[in-house]
Amino acid sequence: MYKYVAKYLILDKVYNFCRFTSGAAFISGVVLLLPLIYLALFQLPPDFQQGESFRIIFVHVPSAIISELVYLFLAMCGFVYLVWRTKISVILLNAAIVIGLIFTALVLITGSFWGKPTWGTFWVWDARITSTFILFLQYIGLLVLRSSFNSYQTADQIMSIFSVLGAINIPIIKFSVEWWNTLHQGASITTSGTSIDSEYFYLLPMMLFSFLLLAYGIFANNVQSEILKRDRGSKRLREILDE
Amino acid sequence: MIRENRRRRIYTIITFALALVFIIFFILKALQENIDFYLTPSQVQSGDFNTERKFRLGGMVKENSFKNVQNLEVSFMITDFENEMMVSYEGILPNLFKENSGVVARGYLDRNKNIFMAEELLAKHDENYMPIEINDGNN
Repeated sequence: MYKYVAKYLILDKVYNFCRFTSGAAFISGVVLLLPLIYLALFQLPPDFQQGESFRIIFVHVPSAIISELVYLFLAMCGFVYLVWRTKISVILLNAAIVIGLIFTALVLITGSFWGKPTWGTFWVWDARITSTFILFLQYIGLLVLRSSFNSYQTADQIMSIFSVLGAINIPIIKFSVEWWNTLHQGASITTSGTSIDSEYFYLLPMMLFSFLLLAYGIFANNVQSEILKRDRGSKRLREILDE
Repeated sequence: MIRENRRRRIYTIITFALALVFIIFFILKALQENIDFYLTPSQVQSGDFNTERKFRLGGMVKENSFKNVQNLEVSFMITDFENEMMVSYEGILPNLFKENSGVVARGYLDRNKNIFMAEELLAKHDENYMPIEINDGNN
């Protein structure tokens, strides 16, 4: 298994792949996002309870999903690094932190703008909001760790451990609305279906997809600079750069 | 298949992760009362919780219980469909406040009158979303 995966994850191949895909992914993400935002803001009818303010769901929910997926990705990369010592996994880990941070910030900001007109408050310390805030601090913690060590080796090791163990917060965020009394409502999308009307629902996966494209675009860009930072001396990489 | 040293590292990571899961589980278990954002009427009436100081009371606004006492002063019942409590509040109601909908009130319990004196009121909406027109059709 290792053998087959490893040959696609050679640094200069990854670098090349990211170089060709990052711009295209980001631009197609933007192009896809514009009509979706138009749909969400102007085309869809208002909600029967919340009126217009529910429209923020189309930013809030996809960014929440991405903020948690990115952390799971970090944990996976960290695990692979700790076991197999592959350089590429810490490069991917480092490149993804900022993406997670951006989307977690987006969740918290859109959530509080949604909370004010519906709940009547920007912020409360209930289990869902607090655990998401902790996720935000975890991403900041990783960035702090990254800049705290002089050697890549130490930083990589400690960041990998931190991201693997920190993944325990993800199920806590997910199930916080079931385990405790929270102000945040329960999950709309469950394995048994969704309580979002089909007239709205189809937009969520499309929104998620365009956010993923944007996220990947930034991520691939970060991967490139991370590779250059660590592997400037490699001969094949210099050939690519000289082209 | 996997080399011996790698296998050992996998076991180490799993052991540490499981230990952390247990630690976090017991911490959260011990803090359960503090993490809960509000108490339900049943929890308040069970007497297991400290209701001497200020706390939050949450549940559904009982149907036909809402009364406008005077000006901005209102009273209503919060129910969890087992027990219910009278709430008195003076101030502006949140937009989504209505009967048969979730609410969380912060305040203190007046033991003499057995009324919860709310100082802050938050609306708690549910996880259903649908267009206005469709909902009108249902009614």
